[in-house]
Amino acid sequence: MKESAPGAEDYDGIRVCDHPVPPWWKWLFVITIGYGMAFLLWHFITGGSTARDAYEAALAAQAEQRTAAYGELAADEATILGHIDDEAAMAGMAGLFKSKCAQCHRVDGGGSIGPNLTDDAWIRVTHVTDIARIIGEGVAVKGMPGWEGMLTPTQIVLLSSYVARLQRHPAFDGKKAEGEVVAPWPRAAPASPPEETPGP
Amino acid sequence: MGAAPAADADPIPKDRFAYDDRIAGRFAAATIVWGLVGMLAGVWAALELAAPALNFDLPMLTFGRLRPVHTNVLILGFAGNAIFAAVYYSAQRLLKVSLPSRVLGHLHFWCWQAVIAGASITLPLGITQGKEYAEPAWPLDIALTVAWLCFAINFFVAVARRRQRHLYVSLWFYLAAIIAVFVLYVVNNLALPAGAMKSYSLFAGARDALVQWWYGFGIVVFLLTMPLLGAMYYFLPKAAGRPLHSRRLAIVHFWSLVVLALLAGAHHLHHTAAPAWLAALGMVFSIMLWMPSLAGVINGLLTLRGAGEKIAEEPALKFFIAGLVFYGISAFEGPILSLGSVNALAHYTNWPIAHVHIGGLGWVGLMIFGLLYWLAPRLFQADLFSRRLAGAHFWIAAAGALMWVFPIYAAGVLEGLMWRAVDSTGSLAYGGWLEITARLTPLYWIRALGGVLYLFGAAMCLVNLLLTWRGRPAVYDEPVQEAPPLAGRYVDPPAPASRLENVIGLARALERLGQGHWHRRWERLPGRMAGVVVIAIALASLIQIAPMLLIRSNVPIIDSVQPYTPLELAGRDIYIAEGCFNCHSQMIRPIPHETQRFGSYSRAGEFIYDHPFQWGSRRIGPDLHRIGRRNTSVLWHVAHLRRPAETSDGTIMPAFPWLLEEELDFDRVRAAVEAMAALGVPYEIGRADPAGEARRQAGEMSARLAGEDATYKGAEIENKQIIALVAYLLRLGTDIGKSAPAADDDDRLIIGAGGDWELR
Repeated sequence: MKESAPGAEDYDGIRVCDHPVPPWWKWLFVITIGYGMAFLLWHFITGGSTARDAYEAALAAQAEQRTAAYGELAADEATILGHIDDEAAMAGMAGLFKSKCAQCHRVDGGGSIGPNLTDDAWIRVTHVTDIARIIGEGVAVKGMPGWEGMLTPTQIVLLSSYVARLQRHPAFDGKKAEGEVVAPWPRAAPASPPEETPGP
Repeated sequence: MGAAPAADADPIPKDRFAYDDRIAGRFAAATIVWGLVGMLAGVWAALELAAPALNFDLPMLTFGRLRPVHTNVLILGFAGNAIFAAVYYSAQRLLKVSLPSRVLGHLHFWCWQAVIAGASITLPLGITQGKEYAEPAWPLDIALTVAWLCFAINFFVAVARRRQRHLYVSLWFYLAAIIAVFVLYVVNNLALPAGAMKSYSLFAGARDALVQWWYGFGIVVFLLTMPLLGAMYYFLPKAAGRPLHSRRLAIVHFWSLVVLALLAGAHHLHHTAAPAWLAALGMVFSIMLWMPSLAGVINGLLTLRGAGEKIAEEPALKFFIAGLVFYGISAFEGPILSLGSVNALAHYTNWPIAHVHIGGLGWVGLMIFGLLYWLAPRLFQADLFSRRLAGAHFWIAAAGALMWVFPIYAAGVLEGLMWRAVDSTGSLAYGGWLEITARLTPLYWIRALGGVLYLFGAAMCLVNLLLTWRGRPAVYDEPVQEAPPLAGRYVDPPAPASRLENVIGLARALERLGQGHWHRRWERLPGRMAGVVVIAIALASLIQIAPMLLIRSNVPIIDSVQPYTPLELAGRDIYIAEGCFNCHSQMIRPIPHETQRFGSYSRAGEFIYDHPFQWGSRRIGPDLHRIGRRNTSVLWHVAHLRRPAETSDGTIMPAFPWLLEEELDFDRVRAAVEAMAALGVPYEIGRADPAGEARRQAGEMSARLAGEDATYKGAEIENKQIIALVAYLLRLGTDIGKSAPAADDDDRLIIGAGGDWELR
């Protein structure tokens, strides 16, 4: 039996046409290959713009953005108390609190693993500056991490303001009071508002 | 035309043989049964994300243990079995050979089902290798390889004995798949056993990550897509009664997939600690795959020109068409997700999950249902019980698939945008993880409903097939086929002369290349085709894997990174057993919003002792790489693991109360340390007493816990599994902050000399 030529042959009844490859398909394929090879060449020759470079640049820009508004803040009583009514800063710190502190202190500061921050009883704290110290050093024996190195000094100062401010909204079903009662924080003159910064 | 035999009056006697369709029938039945099991596991897992109470505090039902059941049962049981059915049916007919060995066929079938059954039982028990789509324990891996070899032998012997000289397109796809799956599966599962059902991967950290994703993407291409495309090339023209649209397009389609696919997998490693050149390769090759994938869709859909009436009456065709369309969408979307910038938004979100499922539900699922509906009447030699039911299934499946993917696309983009949102001061706008999780719940409910619909459709298929099978004849008809054996000598017909005039030789050569006549020769030389496939796969794999293994600068060593202590190693084993990587990643990318949320970005050198790596591919829960720096409270971890809702309002994490009750097996600690030492982790095990050290560290941690909360004094928690897991978590990501310990002369860090392990 003669074996048939391509086109006449069938494969279990399936016949095969040989329509040409669509030109638009062919050229798109060629373009992706060309682009791909060019990109690889650029990447390997120049080292490419790696994610690390983009990161360093973005980080620098962000650090500028953050400290541009507030500059370097000192962790003293006047500064901490002065920023308690700075609504913009406190809004930002609310996010930071949620991200770093809420797991142990609860989103509203009412305490679960960590103590209740909304009542007037404090452990190891007599002045607002103690708050900043504890945030930076942590309390190893109780399992609180020290945030120095992970947060900038400015962030720690503003976060202390936020924590000091939590007393204004005592948590409804917060943890039982722990520590000693401390008198309410003194009123301080509001800190000068931050300079107008260009939009993000 | 071929040379005619000299004596035409004396025709070559024909062989008589019959196709074995019983085996395809068995595989088809297994397909739909396992499909339902795997889909049910998926629906349950989906519901757990919307309503975590459905974990019922049962270890076997937690999302981390259930998800691998879903993936493995569907990949092996639903897709694998369907592909075998399709291949056994079509290959015999395309080669005009009957199945060479019925024994091997039986062994293949039963071994394969045993692997899936074994996985279904062991995975919920926490017996896992901790690598995606490669979770089943090493004995199951060996069994699977044996089954695959049975399949391969039957296939290649059939090819050698074929009575059709030239291989049709489908056979190329089957051949490449058989070879590639073997290579991928064996290499990625290379591990050192450390017990009857426990092993540690040969590779560690970033190297393991590359091997895993070379495999992960490769297996989706070569185990799922290639065989199903091969099946499409056979069953679609068959069902439609139309010729295949373009042989040339099929050739380009096939070879571009074979050459390009294995280099695309590193797109999973964008912005991770794996080197940037790998991700760049992955991205580029993914983009080059864009058009080849589309070629399959074009070839399939254009084959259907003129088949309008057939499409209306043959339910399988509806499934094939929709399947191809979904394949096109998925293969169009994939390269987009591979772009670095898109990936930075999408990685770890629900978006890749939607991508997987538009391919899984849309392409793989619908294609398989189409195959079942076309094959069943032929395999069981009875009319399909109800074409209307099959038609209804089609619409329900399509609706279910769309209802599944749309909310998850939305969830993915929403998550990605919320993770990276910053306010005007540059702080995270959504600092709390759980406030983002809460937004996704309604979308998870809609997705679960879509899954239920899809599952319901699959149940309709089971009913239809079962009732079709019940209409089978008492004795199957085995029609005798007749075909002459191949003639001994064969001369390829000469290529048609080039019609180009006044051109250089190169132009004529290119034209000859374009005509594809040389490929016609390859089609009758399966050995050569297989050889080229092997070379292509080997090259693509080695280009990535060899530099990662051999060039040290790809994984820069960090001096302060030390191996895990014995207790931490035991804890890591629990982390793997509970499937934590299914929800939690351990890879912080150098992206500002991410480092703000989780801590400084992860370096490759931090993972060199991680056998297997646990970078994860999803953040249903937050990243854990630096949890040891962020959450330093033993009490918090114990309380959180015991009942997450107590520490985390709005969490969807299941509770793990048994960890406080189950005893930690200190006897196994030595075996774990010895296995790691054998894999190259610098433990000095000669004098140290790993079990004793683990007990000591557990005691110290227990004392720490009592210090934090006096109610835990005397709770005997130092003998429970939880203390090991917490020790591991508290260690995570803390090494880079430390100073390097003094190293020994010959570079090996001797830890525990004299039996003292430093408590981190």
